[in-house]
Parts: sequence; C-alpha cells; structure tokens
Amino acid sequence: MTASGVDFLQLGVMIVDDNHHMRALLCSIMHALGIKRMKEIGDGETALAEIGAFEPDILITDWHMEPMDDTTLVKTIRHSSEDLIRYMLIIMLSGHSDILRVRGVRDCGVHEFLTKPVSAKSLLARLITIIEQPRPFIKTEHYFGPDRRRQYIGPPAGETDRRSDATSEGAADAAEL
Amino acid sequence: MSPPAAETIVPPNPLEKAKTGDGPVKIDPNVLRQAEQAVEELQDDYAGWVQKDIDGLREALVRAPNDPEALDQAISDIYKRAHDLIGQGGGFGYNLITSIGDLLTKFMEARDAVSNRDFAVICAHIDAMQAVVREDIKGDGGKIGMQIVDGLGQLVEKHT
Repeated sequence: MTASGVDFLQLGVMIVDDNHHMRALLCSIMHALGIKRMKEIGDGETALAEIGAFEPDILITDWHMEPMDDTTLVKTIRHSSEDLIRYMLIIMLSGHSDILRVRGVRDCGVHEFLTKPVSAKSLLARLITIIEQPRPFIKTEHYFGPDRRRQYIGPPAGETDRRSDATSEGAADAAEL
Repeated sequence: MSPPAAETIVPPNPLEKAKTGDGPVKIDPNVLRQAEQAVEELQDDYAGWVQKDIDGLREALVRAPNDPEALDQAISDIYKRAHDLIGQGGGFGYNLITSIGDLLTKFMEARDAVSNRDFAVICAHIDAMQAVVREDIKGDGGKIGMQIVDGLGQLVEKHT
C-alpha cells in the first residue's frame, strides 16, 4: 500500500506483548496499513531470541510484561553488539501515563511512547513521526538511545541539563539541540 | 561541574526505504479509515474476550479471601488483569472498560496492602465492567457511563 509518501509494505514489524488481545489489535492495525512482514511474540525473552533472525525495522513492545521486567528488553537491545539491533526503532506501549513512568521509559532508550488504549490514529501518527523525523542517537556515560530532547520534559534522571551548556559542549552536542 | 560528555551518532535510517517521494509523509485519511475499520471488525470478538477477563477477575476475587496463603497472588492477578483491561478496552471501542479498570488499579495502588475489607469495592468495579459488557455499552457510555464512573468514585471515597 502506497499512501501519502510511505509504502508500508516495505516495513517489517515485531510486536511484543504478553496479552493476546493486544497483539491481535496491533496486528490488525498493522495489516490494515499494508504491513505484511510481521511477527507477534508474547514475551521479551523470545523476542530477544528471534529479533536477530527476523530483523524487524520497527519493534512495538509493551512496557510491563512478565517474566522479563519492564525495560530489560529495550536495554538489552541497546547493548547489542550488532548495529542492526542496537539502533532498532522502538515504540513502547504502556497503560501507565504518569510523568515519572514516562520519563523512565524515555530513559531506557525508546523512540516513541504511546499510552494505552491504542487507537489506529495514534499508532499511525507515531509510525509517521519516526519515518519523517529520524533522530540521532546519543551516547553518554548513563544513556544510549535516541535523542530524548525532541520533547523537553526535563533532564534525564541523574544527569545535568546539557541544554544550558550547549555552547560549551562543542559541535557534536550542539547538533542534537 | 561540567555535564557528562555526549556523543551524537546518526545511524542509517531503516525506514528510508519505505518513503516513496521527497514530499512529507502524512496521515492518509483513507489508510486511517481502513485501520479503524479493521479495529471495528474486532469489536465482536473482544466482547467475548473481555468476558473471560471479567470471569478471571471474579475468580481471583473469590479465591483471595478463602485462601490467605494465596492472597498476594490473587491480588496480583486482579491488578494485572485490571491493568490489561485499561489497555484493551478503549482500543476496541469499550472506553468505559478502560475507565473502570483505571479506577480499580488506582484504588489498589492507593493502599499499602489490599485487605478483605477492600474486596467489596473491587467487586463493585468488576460488577460495573460486567454491566458494560452485558449492555454492550461502547464509547464513554454517555449519561449512563458518567453515572457508573461517578458511582464508583463515590464508593471509593466513602470507603476511604
């Protein structure tokens, strides 16, 4: 399906959620968008085992799954030695929407965060955002992942505000602002 | 104190291959409508799925007071199921299920420990979800939906 500047048929998506109904919902939306290369998985461990072979372009994952805890899947992906995996585009879903939890998700290295319940419109909007606005990755002592500063909600936990020091941080840091 | 050094890396964009022109990528109303129709087609299935979830909630509620050793597990089951329902309800068009699940999890989170005394309030939330499914109330339920949510809020307030 080619529509409004994007051919979804070209994309591969892995959906990870421990709830069958949510996976059915997400797969149904993806299929309607024209995405044919899809894999649905019920837990983080299996996702990690299969991600290398499937090579998704986008990973859509629930935040709170058992038995693997909330952010381990994302952190493990970000620590991969393979570029194809460590730079994976990740959309995280969660039924929680409070600011502290959102910050926690942001700080684990996801591209987009989407509060459940998920609508077709909100999911499509996130997909278009990551296609249209690719973000650089930032590597610091405490963080590796997409630049978190597109939407400013305060400095990352445990870090000072680099925005105020942009002029002293050199070209690389200035480029992310 | 100087902030930590940051390295900026621009990885290859794996989604570039999906772009079909130089123009901006926008939401196509026709594509969106297809996706929304796909979700609507799942609503009948969801009505059956959610009934199983409600049955599971009720089963955990019955189990909890009768088996003190299993109380923590039962409470954990109730919370997990309620949290799942928050995520699913509105997604399938049953926004009231999401609202009631949200009220229930917040009620449980506000307590250091859920006790037998709290079970009547939990039961009222489950009954409310059951009513939504039985009457097939989609969306926010309008006036009836407001009455259900307000009634649960008053019950929680009275209990607290």
